[in-house]
This record gives sequence, structure tokens and C-alpha cells, in this order.
Amino acid sequence: MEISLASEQITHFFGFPITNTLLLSWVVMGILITLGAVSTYRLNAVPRGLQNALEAVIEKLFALVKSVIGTDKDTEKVFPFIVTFFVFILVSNWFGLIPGVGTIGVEHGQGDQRMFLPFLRAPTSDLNTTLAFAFISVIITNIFGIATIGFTKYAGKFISFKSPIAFFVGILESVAEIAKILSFSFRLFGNVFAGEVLLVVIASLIPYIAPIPFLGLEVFVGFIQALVFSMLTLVFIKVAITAAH
Amino acid sequence: MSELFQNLGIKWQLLAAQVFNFFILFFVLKKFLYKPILKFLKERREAIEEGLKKSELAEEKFREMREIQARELTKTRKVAQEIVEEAKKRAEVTQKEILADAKTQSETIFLKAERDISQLKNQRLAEAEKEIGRLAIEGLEYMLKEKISDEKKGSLQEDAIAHIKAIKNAS
Repeated sequence: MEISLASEQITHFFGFPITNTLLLSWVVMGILITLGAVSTYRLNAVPRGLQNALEAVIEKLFALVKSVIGTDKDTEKVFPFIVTFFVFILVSNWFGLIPGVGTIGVEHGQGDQRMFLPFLRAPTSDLNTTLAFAFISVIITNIFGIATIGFTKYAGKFISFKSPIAFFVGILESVAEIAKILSFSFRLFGNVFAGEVLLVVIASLIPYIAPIPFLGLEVFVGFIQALVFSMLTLVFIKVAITAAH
Repeated sequence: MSELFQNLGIKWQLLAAQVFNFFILFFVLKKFLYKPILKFLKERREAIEEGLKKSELAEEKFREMREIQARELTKTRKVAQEIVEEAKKRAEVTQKEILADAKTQSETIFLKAERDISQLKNQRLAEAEKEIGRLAIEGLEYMLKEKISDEKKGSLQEDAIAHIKAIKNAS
């Protein structure tokens, strides 16, 4: 049993590493895009099946985002980011739990260097993915802030010479932005990776029956982490687009 | 630092690839899922709202119509009642007038008749007086031709005339 913090490289394409997490990201993307395109291919006035389900989900999420953001205009801008974060992370987390993902692979190397190389691995159990999401989250938050309340006013949150207190609060705010990236990425990565490790450990200790409750737990954790990530992004955007008093 | 990144498996290519992946998914889903569905939901909501507004408007119009109808009906009823009352009043007045007219007319007729009657009576009486006087005298003359003396004749004639006068006066 070997546990690798980094994702495993399967192959490379003109020097570009293709890892198992990247591969599953593409699978998840392909499924989401297909689902999205198929569901809206022909919209019916009286919704049925897939359209009905997606409509309900999107309507509820829109209402949720609007309840935080407030206005319809801002909600329409923020909503696609929040939903994309949510569904991408949620489906990535759940795909990592499908039996076969992380367990089907090949052995490579010789002797002590022998390594098991799974073909697929949950994208969110790779720090590259979560870090990428965290960067996007923090950067769009700042962009929304600047676009809504103006550059000088927004920058005043970080650099302020009005008073010594404001100056130090500005420094703290700047540090908080960096900390946000780290907390976003490591929270998601930690939860998903730990879940996978937990499942591997339990499965190797008591196979077949014992991992099932943990699998249920991981399904729940996967949902919660997707929700936490998107809701935190939403709240940070709300804070950023609200002018300081 | 690079060792830390190595241990955590952080590679800038992978990081960039995941950023790229996110934005691909973001734009594709935005174009094919969120926008069409949100637009569709908005259109449907608007259609429903419009329908509700229309039905509300129709209901209001209906209520208004009913009110107008009721108002018109009350007004018409009032007018009809007024007309009937007016007619009644007028009929009463006319009745009174006709009655008064009839009364005066009947009185006039009655008076005229009375006058005519009395006139006729007087005339008849005068005629009768004259006739009776003549007959009495004729009868007396006849009787007196044999039995009554001239002296008696004179007094009897006087008596008869006095008597007739008394009768005439009595009538």
C-alpha cells in the first residue's frame, strides 16, 4: 500500500505532463458539458425529466445566490462562477469515490521502485486542482470588487493611510487574501485526499463490508466540501462588492 | 520551496491546465446551460405573471361591469318609480279637475232645467188659468142662463175669480 500525495503522471504530451487527476478532470468536464448541452437542447414549456431536474437545481441555486448577493444584475454575473465551482467540485469528489477510480491501474518500476499507477484519481485530491480553483476564486472576488465599487475605493481596503489602525487593517486584509488561497486549496485537498486515504486504509484492513459506511460518509463530505467552497466564494464576493463603511 | 512543491506535486503546467479546464467548463456551461435555463425560467415566469395580471384585469373589469350594471339598474328603477308617481299625481289632478268640471256642468244643467221647468210650469199655469177661467165662465154662463139672477151672477163671478186667484196664489 503506497500513498502518494502528488498525482501520478500517466503519460506526457510534448513535455506536458498528463496525470490521472487531469484525466478524470476531463472526464468530469465531458460529462458535465454533455449533460448541460443535452438538457437545454430542446427546452419545453412544461419541463420533464432531465430538464425539470436541472431547472429545479438551477432555480434553487439562483435563489440562494440572490439571497446573498441581493440584486438581480450582480447575481447574474456571480451565479455562473458559483455554480461551476459547485458542480465541478461536487462531481469531481463523487467521481473519485466510484469503485475502480483509484484502484484500476498498472504496476510500473522495478524492485523497490515498483509503484502502483491508477489510471484515474479524484481531481480534487490533487493540490494543483484545488490551488487552481482557489486562485480563480480569490482573483474573481477581487475583480468583482474592483468592478463594482471602483479601483481606488477597493484598493483603499488594502492600502490606507487614513489612520494607523486602518493601515494595519489593510496589511491584515492583504495577508488574508493570501491566506484565503491557502485555506481554500488545502481545505478541499485535505478533505478529499484524507477521505481517499481513509477508504484505502479501511479497505485494506477489512475488505468488502467495512468501507461502505465510510463511502457514505465520503459522499457526504464531497457534497459539503463543494458547498463550502462555493458558499465561501459567494460570501467573499459579497463582502468584496459591498463598499466599506 | 521547490522541494515543497515537488513533494506536494505542484507543477505549474498542471495548475495552468486546471485553470484552463475550469474556464472551459465555465464558459461552456454558461453558454449552454445557465443562460438558456435562466432565460427560459424568466420567460416562463413573465408569461405566468402576465397571465395572472390579465386574469386579474379581466376580473376587475367584470366587477366594474357588474357595478355599472347595478348602478344603472337602480337608476332606471328610480326613474321608473318617479315616472309612475308623476303619472299618479297627474291622474289625481286630472281626476279632480274632471270631477269639478262635471259638478259645475251638472249644476248648470240642473239650474237650467229648473228654470225651464218653472218657466214651463208658469206658462202652463197661466194657460190653464186662462182656460179654467174661460170654462168656468162658460159653465156658469150656461147655468146662470136659467136659474141664477143677475145679482147672483155678479157675486158668483166675483167669488169664482177670487177662488181661482186663491188657488193660483196657493200654487
